[in-house]
Amino acid sequence: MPITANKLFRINVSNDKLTATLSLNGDAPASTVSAEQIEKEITDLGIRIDEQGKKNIAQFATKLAQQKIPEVTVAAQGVPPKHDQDGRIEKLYESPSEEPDASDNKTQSHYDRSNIISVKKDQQLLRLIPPVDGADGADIYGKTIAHKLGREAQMKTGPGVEQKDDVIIAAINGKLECTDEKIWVVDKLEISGDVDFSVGNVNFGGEIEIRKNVLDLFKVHSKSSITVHGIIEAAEIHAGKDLNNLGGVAGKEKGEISAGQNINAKYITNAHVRAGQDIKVHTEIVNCDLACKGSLTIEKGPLVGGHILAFKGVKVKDLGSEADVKTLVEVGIDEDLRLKCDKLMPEIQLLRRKAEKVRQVVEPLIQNQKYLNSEQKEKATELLYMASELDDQAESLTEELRGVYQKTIDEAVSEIEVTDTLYTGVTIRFPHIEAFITSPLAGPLKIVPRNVDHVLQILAIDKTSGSTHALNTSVTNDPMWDTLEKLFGPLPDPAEKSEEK
Amino acid sequence: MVMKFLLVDDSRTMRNIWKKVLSSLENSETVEAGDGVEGLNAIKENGPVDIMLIDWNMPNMDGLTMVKKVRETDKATPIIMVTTEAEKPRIIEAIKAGVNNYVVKPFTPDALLGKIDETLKRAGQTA
Repeated sequence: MPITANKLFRINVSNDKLTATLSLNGDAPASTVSAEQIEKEITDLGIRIDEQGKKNIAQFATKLAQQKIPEVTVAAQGVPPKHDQDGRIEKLYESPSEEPDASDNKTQSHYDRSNIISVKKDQQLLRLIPPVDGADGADIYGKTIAHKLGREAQMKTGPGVEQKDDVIIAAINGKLECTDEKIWVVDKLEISGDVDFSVGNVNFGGEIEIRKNVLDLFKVHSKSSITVHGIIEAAEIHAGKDLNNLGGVAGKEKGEISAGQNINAKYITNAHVRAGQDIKVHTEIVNCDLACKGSLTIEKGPLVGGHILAFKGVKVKDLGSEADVKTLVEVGIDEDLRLKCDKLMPEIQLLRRKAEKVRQVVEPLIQNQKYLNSEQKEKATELLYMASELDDQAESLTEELRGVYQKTIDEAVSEIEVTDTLYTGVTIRFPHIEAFITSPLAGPLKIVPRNVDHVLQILAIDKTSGSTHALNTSVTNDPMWDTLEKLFGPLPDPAEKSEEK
Repeated sequence: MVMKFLLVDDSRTMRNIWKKVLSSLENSETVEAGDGVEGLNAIKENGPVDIMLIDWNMPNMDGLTMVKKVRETDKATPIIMVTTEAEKPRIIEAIKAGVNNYVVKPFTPDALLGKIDETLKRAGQTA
């Protein structure tokens, strides 16, 4: 907005009233005017001039006096307002991985590119950062220009989260859901389709429900239970609690499924299976490496092929098949016992051997104490102490092994029930003994170990008639049982244990 | 109730063996010293102990001298001499000085614990 002060110079005020500039009115200076006169003209307009403005005005007047054309000069400058910065939300969790940059040297498996955000209880999710204060300004007339106030960051909290001061945290383990306006956590993850490349591997603290299938090579892990409505292919499934599979497991020799508690499935084929408690299958188990610490039940079908270990008994319709498929069934045996024995026995034996060696060294010294000097006597004491320590360590490991062995004695159920047929090609193994089936037997049968004339035998008891058939029993070629019996005494008579029940 | 042991031996290895053997006792606490002088200072600084295990042959002040000094003011606290000195005259000398029991090196951990138990029972305490 130009204000023509006089015919010599012009005063322009910007639209926002933050700047007043001086410029020559016309093409060439017609005459001179003093800086004071210029200042008076400006201040008469109500405009405030600061020190810099005065300097600029003085330079302008000097140029006029020199008959030169002065440049446009800032005579007065206001202070623009500094507006508040709006509050904002800082994300404190990691988002699922995005599409990798082509120039990025890091590689990532496509299986791991999941869009599910798992969070843990007490994990920090968002921080609400308040607005940052600004400041008022002033125009060239000295009038205050108010600054704009900032807006508070807004985020609604739904279930499963809570706000503590300026931080929103997860109140439970679960899946994070977050929109522009709301944040919440659900304790159950539902996947409406397959676990495939659109979902990625899943690792979730809470319960998982998969409405369709889990495809080859994908991994699903939960600390709680997992339910799969469709088929589990050659995938890796680990449930901290139960695994419920309605469609069946087709493991293709690569599938691995495990549950801390029970596994329920329609069928299981060609998979590696572990359960902390029972396994219940509806139609069949074929060619599996399977172990459970509870019982194994197949309601309406066969157990064929593979290696099966069930601590608390097996109940199936058919065991083996007409095609003589090799099937090994071990019952009443704890997989942990074998693992512990394999690990601990060598350590125990080594410690005992070391203790014995030390004693052999120190024994002659003890026998001839009076010929030893003080140093030798002290050394002998050290060696005796070392031998004692080694024995204590061996004893501690032995006790650990005893605990597992005792559990086998107390809790194992050495029993197999076959409702229809026991086929040839099957090896049945109980602690210390086994029988290889060479001719089929019709059920319903109960197969148990029993002491017959002081010899442990595997018997097949016809549940209808009560008649007993002794299977061709031999002692297992398994040194573990000899070792354990030497350490802890013989296994109790299975018949006595059965009567106790 | 915590039982406080004073262990006096110039061999750190030996003191470590005693400590480990004593760690099998519930509620035991140990104070260590490397010779008789340190042993007497340890009693002054840490207060009375429940039982002392003292070696005989040590620099600065041997175990027998320390026992005599302790017995000038403390007739009650049980003292076990743990030493390589096995001759009868030496044993008698130690008992006369005020030692309650005697363990000859080399000893097994069980033998040491047995002597401690025996000594405390005689003194009317239990470990």
